[in-house]
Amino acid sequence: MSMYRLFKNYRGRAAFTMVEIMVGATILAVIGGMVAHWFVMQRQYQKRILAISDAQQNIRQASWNMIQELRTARNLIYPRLNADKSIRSDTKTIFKNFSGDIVCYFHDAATGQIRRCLIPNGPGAPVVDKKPVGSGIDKVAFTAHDIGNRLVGIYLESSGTVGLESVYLLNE
Amino acid sequence: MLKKLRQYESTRKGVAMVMVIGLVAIMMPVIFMLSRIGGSQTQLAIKYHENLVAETVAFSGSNAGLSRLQGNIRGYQDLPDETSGEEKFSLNLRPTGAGFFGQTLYFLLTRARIKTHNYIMMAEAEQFKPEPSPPVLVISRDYWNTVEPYEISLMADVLSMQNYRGMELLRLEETRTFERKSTEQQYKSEMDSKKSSLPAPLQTDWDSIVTALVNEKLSE
Amino acid sequence: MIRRGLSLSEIIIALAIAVMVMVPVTSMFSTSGQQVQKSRNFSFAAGLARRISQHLMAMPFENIVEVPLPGLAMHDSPDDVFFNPLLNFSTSQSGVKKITASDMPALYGFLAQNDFKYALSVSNVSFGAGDEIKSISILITWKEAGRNMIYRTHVYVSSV
Repeated sequence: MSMYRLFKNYRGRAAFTMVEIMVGATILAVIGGMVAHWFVMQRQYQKRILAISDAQQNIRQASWNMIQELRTARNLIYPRLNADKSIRSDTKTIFKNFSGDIVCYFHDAATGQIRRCLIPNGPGAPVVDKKPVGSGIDKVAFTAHDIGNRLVGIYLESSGTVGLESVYLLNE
Repeated sequence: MLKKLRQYESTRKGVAMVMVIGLVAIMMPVIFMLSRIGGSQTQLAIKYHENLVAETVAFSGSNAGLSRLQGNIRGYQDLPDETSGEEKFSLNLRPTGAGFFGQTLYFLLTRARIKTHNYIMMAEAEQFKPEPSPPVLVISRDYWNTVEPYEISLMADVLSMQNYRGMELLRLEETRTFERKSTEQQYKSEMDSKKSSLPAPLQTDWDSIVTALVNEKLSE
Repeated sequence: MIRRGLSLSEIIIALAIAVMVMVPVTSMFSTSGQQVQKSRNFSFAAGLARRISQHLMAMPFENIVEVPLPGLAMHDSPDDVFFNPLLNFSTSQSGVKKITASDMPALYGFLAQNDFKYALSVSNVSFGAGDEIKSISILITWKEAGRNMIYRTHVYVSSV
């Protein structure tokens, strides 16, 4: 019988030995564990970065929307300076817009939105805008700074990111 | 035997190829997405900055226009390359007639354009005669803004802006007329009636707000 | 039958290739993170500069004065017209909140960590006969990864 036939008869079935399986499985577990750990760490880091990104954009969006309308507003009605002339803050602001109607920006803490309500300065019911002015906002504060009710400070907080703004009301 | 060996090798190669393709298919989108996060935030931050700068520059332009009127510049002026810091703005002074005291009435228009961001401010200004010399008394009112890309030197665009601004001024006239024609009691009653329709956060302070509105109501 | 497996050198080469691929990917994460932090600081500085420009409009014209470099910090600062006090949810002076570690720890921490400061460069300009206007350059400076950063904006404030 040839050596080949002997060899073939001796190794009739190709398979792994127990030791080979154990060593292979151990190496796979170690390498797989390292890779999985790396993916989990990076996923958490990615989530943190995305949260900061979203927070920034929420603040920018809300700021820009409010700045435009407040810029041509006529009079800040609420909040106003305290009786002792100290500044006064609130989570809502009420002012007369360019057209003389009364507008309110208020914070809905449950949804994290800043909403706008238009109150006609005359007959008619108040209407809350369907689209929010800002979303994802955890805290907002509108602050009266000026005795003439022409300056409102805006403080916005979203997922730990802060935005500071102010608007000078141009019209009377 | 050789055929089996070749089959075994090609099976191994096939498995290796699948693993590489799978790895690339997973990693490439992850890498692409990650590179976009940072880049997109930078773009958004710059866009916000450009919006703010356009607004500030247009506003500066209005102040510069008022200053020029105060310095006794007269007649139609189209000044497209004024600067505020490092940014340019356009200033257009458009006489519209004379007032009761002989003052010249103007439309005061300023425009700032930063890349694709526009900001236009439009106001009315009254320039009195210098008595006996400048500085001239200047009054400005009813500032209006838009981010639409109008050309402030083109009559057609100015008319379009006038129309939009005019509609809002018509509403202003309605609200002022309502205030003038109502007594304090009537006005208070109208404002109080809105309380129940207000969102909850507004209802708590509405009474004090109505008090302020009534105190500042226009009267005949 | 000859059964071929992976030799040690093949495993080592495969691991080396995997590491060479993963290291740039890992750095891509940290680069994105740095860019996000940069854009946050930049937007915050833009908001601060604009806030100052608005408060300048409300100030008496003659009170607008130069604040020279290196500038003033916003945290742990005496009262000014721009930043302190910042909030007050009460009806009297006693409830004011300033940017201090006790009143506003998160904002204080952010400002102190990045050493945000503001400066004003003021010059009187005249466009004609007898008019008066101030040309104000607002600078916001801060530190980022050891580097000094600056944001500048400019505004005209009229005496009218």
